[in-house]
Amino acid sequence: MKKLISLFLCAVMILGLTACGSGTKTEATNPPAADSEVEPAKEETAAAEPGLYEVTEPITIEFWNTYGDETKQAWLQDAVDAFNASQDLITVEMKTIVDYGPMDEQLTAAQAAGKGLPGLAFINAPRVLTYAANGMTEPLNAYMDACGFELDDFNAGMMDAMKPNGSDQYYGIPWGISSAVAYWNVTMLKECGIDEVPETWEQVREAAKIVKEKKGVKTIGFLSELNYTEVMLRNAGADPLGDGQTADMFNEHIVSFMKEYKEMIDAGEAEFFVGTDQNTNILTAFYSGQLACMMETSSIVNAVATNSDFEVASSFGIRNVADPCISCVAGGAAIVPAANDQQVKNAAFQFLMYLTSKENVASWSSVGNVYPIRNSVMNDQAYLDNAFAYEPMLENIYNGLPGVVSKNKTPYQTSAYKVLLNAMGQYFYNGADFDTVWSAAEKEINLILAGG
Amino acid sequence: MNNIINTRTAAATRKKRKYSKQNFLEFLCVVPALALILLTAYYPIADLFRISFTNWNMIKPTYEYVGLTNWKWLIDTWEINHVFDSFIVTLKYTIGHMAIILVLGLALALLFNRMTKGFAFMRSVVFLPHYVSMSTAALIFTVILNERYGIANAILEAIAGIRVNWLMDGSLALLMMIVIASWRAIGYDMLIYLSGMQGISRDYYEAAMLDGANGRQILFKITLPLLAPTTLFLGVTQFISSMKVYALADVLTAGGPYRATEVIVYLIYTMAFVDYRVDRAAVVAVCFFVFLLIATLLTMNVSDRKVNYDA
Repeated sequence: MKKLISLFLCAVMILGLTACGSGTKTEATNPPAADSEVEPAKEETAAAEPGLYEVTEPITIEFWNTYGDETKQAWLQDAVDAFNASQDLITVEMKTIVDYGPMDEQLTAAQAAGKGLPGLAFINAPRVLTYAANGMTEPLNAYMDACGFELDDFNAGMMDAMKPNGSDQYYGIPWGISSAVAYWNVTMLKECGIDEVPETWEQVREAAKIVKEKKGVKTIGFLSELNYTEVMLRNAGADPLGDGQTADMFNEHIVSFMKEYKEMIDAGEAEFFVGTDQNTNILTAFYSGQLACMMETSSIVNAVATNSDFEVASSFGIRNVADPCISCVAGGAAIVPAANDQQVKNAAFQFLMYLTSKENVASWSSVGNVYPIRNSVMNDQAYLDNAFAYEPMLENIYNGLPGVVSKNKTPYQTSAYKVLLNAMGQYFYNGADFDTVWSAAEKEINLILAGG
Repeated sequence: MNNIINTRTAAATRKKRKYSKQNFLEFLCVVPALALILLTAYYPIADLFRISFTNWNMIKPTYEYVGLTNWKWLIDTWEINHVFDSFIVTLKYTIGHMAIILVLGLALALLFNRMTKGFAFMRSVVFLPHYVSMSTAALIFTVILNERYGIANAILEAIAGIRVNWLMDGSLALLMMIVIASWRAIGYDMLIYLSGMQGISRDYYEAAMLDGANGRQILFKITLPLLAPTTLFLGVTQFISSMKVYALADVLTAGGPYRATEVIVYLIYTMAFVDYRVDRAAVVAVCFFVFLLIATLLTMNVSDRKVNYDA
């Protein structure tokens, strides 16, 4: 009996392996999608057959979004309902998966399973290029050409974040874009005799000494998170990930900034917030008057104004070696999964066209506290007057908007920053020698950037 | 004579056939359960092994077999791939966790091994944290242990005037993980030990007392040796479950600070779902599986020789 069971078990295991093996061979013979060599073919097809991107039969598609907030959900549901009512062929069904992490997990699970992918999904903007590099997202240029997408009206910096290095193909459309900006406790500055909100890094350093002396608290703090650290380091003069293929960790500007920031931390003038509760900690520190300036997302501008029981001001960023200062595209982006049927992709793009109409962009920017992605909205004085009347801090932030640029375009940015942030934490707080920890991080990051 | 032999042989054959048929029917009865186990347990393991020989990253629609490339990566980048560091962190966590829950679980079981209502209530109190999911416990302790506004530091500051960075100091963060996991698991161990104690025949104790044995001698010469199968069961199951710790590291520390709490399953998760290196995650997972298998087999082997099952 035991022998019988053993034989049976072996047979099933071997069958399982064989079945997987043969299936894979078939899969592997498919040409890789969305790689650079495939793109021109798609563009040619689009030019020859604009009808290829039309929806010709009734179809239902799923739309996955990441917004747990009731107001935002309600806005999106209204948009979905209005779109469904505006035409007869496409029915959009909305599904909410709160937060980018679970969205990534569900999308990759559906991709791996080969079924259950949505027609349209909102994902974390830096993931667009990772997905694009793996052929998971549909290149959209052909759809844009065929459907009359007003590309020129979209913010160039935000759109650039949707293109891989050396490619003209857009793999997503910005949606819900925000960036790291600086919020200042003006009351505290005034109490310390600082009448002007510091704009440059030098001014921040000077202010930090005064604030420490007079109030005994820290002046500047940012999160150990990609969105904020990249902005701080690139404004300091260099991108630690270099050209996205070889790291530039020992660039003199970066080394200098790291050492200056360490000095400030040791002097009790600055903080690099780490840990799972870092976001709560930075907000608590700011609202409780333990921190004069926090680098946080532009999308919480209303919350900062409401929760601060002191005079508060914002600025697009802190000008350092990079002048004018920059801030990197953060927030979300809409993607069309490439593995879907052509009709599903066509329908998804039609819905995306609807979502990104000028009226919707203006309305969503107000509801979602996000940057208007269309130039026509940004240049609409009536829109701006309304927005600034509602929240005056937006004016300083919007003034810097031409400085919104793409993050480093390596598809491995998230993985590389995991190593970088870890090294920063070790140097700042764990007593690690800078050269040792930075060399080890550079070695590891170079391996990651090389795809290894 | 020959007729007698033939008759016996025929009877034996009939009996054998009957048993074969019965065995086959019994086998058919377990086939559904067996198929389910094969599908949900053995097939994923086999597939994991297969994935370790591919370059699949889950988001790519295609993949190829790359031979031993991923296994070579594990060895070539040994110094910087953090697998060994992560393994050591996991081992430290497991040893600390097991030491606490086995010792305190036994101590509490000895303390509460009385069938009165008061002790039954105490047992329930100790067991209660087991109903709290690990993620929830981790989330609650994140707030309790927060350096700025956590209640732990508020109390400490009121008493001793100091604040401790519980989750940002590597050693402390790991210790906190051990303490939280133990707080949650200790009631379960206590309960299993209690049931083990209930199974020990009263005759042994009566005989020992007649022979003049004191409480210490009874504990070390009767209770503990006869609880050895229980200890073995708890040791093996808790060792495996401790080695597989994930939720606590994910919610409480996210593997930090500076990888100090990056346990192996969390590392595998980040490799697969953050870095999209399912191929390499599969290599690490296979190694981890083999390690657990060997550790369990060794334990079982030792138990066959050392553990007393006479209770």
